[in-house]
Amino acid sequence: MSSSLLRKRADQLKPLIYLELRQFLNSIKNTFRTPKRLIPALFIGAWMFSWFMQMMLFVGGATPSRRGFGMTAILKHVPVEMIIAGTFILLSFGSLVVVYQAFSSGSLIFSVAHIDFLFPTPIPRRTVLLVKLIKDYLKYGFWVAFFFIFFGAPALWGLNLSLFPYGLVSIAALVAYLLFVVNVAHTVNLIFTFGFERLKQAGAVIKVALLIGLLSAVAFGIYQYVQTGNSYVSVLWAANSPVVKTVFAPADWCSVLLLSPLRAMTPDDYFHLAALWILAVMSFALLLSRNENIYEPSLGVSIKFAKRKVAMRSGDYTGVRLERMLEKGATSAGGFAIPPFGKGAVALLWKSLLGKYRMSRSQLLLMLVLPAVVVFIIQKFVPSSALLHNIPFALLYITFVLSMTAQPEMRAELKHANILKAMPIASWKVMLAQALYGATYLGAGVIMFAISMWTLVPQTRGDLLVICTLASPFIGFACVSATIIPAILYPDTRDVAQNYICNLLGFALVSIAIIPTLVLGIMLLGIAGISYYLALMIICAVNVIVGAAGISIAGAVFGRFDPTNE
Amino acid sequence: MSGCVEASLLRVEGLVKYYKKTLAVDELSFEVGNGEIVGLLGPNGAGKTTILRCITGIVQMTDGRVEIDGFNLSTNEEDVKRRIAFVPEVPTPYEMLTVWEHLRFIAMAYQTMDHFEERAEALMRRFDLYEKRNDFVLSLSKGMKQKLAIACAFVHDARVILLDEPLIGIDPKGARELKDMIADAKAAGGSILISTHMLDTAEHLCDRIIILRKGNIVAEGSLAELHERAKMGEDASLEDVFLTLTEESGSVETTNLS
Repeated sequence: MSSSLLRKRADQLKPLIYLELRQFLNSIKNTFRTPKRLIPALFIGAWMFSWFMQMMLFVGGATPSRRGFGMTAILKHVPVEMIIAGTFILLSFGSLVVVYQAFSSGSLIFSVAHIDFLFPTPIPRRTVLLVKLIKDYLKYGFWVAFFFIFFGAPALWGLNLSLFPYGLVSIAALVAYLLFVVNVAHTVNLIFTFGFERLKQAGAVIKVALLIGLLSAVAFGIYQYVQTGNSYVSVLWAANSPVVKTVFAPADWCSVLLLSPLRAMTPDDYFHLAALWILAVMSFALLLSRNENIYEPSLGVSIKFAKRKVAMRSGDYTGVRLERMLEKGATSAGGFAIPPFGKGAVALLWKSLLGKYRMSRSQLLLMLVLPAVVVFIIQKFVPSSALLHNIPFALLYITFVLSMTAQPEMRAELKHANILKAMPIASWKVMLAQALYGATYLGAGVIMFAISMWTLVPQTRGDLLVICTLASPFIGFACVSATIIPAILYPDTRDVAQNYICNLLGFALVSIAIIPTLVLGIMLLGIAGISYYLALMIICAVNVIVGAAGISIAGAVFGRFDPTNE
Repeated sequence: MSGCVEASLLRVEGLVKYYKKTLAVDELSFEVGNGEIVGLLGPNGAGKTTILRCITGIVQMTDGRVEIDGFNLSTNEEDVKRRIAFVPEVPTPYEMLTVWEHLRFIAMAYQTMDHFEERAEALMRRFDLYEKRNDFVLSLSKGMKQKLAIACAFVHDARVILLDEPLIGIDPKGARELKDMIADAKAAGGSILISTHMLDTAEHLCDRIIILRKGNIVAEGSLAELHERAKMGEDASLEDVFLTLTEESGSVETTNLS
């Protein structure tokens, strides 16, 4: 390459390096600019630092403890081959989804500022792509290393193993595999965005081939399960089917290399690691050699992603859901709807339930499926007797977690505070409707979990499960009443500091609201030994009182809430 | 006024743009001469932004040819882009840069760092950005961001200026400054293409107007020529002309009156 060409390339790279560097330095400066940003940053920094120091001790081979994510127990039940097969299935399925999606939707995500200000500049597209890819690769590398150091090191430590040196092999393998998959997805997306009929047919053939590969594995697995009735062997059989092993060979190599700290490295492993990096570099070169306009496929997905990022960053989950609904083309209501009921505050409850049903159908569906899956997995590892004794704590924990979801709902609702406050409904009734809505949602979640326990773990069928399930909505009512108070005090979802304080205060108040239940439960059932149903009535009554106190405070705060001063 | 145009700095020929199977722009041809201001008018979805994005190379033409100052976009993209300034609709500048850094980045990208300091200072003063030169863009109001985008467009020596709804959200002083700068660019022999919904802007600013509907040119010409085309008197506003032409365009063939 001649020196003038090199100078030209350097001149083209300079503004991009300037941009990335200034943005990076300014974002650090911005974090330290005001105390309200600095305080959460310091908290998070301190936590990360302490965790990191702990990890360094693990890496340095300090005295092992009984911690380490229970890896010894897991390995006792699940052989390494099974973990490799599971990792392989995850990697190959994940990459299949990524590449499959690339045929129809863009995968190169730029910022909207890039679209508005960088794309029209004379900097060659290839240079823009190069800088973008390098930045992405560094991010992948960082996150993979972060994951391994923060989670891999303690897990290995629990097995008296160290992350070094073979942990580095795992990191190198996963990064190479990620680069390869991402490069292939970008290339596929570029080619097929501008593809004509011939290319589209080729795309259909590739998609069908990938699906056949996947289905053949499923068929292998099912056949084996029918033959042997052994789910472990079936999964291994499916993962080791020849078609899958051939189509997803890089995923196979990566899954083996990922677990290299647990097993001895073979010469083949070194060869496969080299092969993964060769694939990553070759796919990178292939992507950079494309002449298609990289900007166009990225436009739609970049704008969509930017909107979602803004909503996520501000904690506006309702905004995220609305965005997703609009993407799916939901413009009018159809199908089943919760029939209208009530007047005044009760009508508010109906409105909230209807909104939840319409905007969070996938979440509701998850609420039906997830408890069954969780219970199924838990009962494989935890003895039934232990499950029975832990029912009250498990349901209390679910109540606690679900009640925290009421906080973003409340903050989203406050975006319509102008309408709410103009209504002829007392403030405390508005809050009551909000708390009952949260408690209904929460109660439904707990009931689903209880049904799963009842169905899948026969030993848990009894009065204890029934009274805990019945008590949950009442406990939830008390918790939700407590958690909505900070939501009204700190309503601005765009403010990092308000988000942080709101979450912290919500957590503290819910913890306080749950204390009477814990104390009464231990005293009435554990010490006094009174009947389950009498204890249930007392606990429910106390939670109604706690909830009412929360509602009256929330109502008073809402009464003074100024919607114009969010 | 279009008759004064001697040469065409911007030439678009047979521009076709499909988004998958949707036709956004259909065989569109027009020219913008030296020292000419042309307005692109049309209802939502007429293809105005797509045309500007095709000219700037942000999206790829399905077919057609774009030439700027004799350079073909398909074969000399860098040369074409160096001669263009683009102000996007509702611009989103880099929030983590200061106003000054933003202008500097744009100047670096266009490799026009000569006299950058003086030029940037003059632009910042003109658009009331000077006091905020060290503020992060994220702290700017919507109108100030729009002003910054306009300042970025004028920080390098563009011969063709493309503006997508440039006056939305901008205060009267900023609007006056922009109009003055457009007039200066025109006097210096530049070509300006403005996409807008604001009919009064087009009426007062543009030498020639292109009315679009569903990716086609419905009518093209000076205001007087459009009045004639719509069979309306001189006293009829551009709004009346626009509504008449876009409503009847379903049954009327495309006509070039220039």
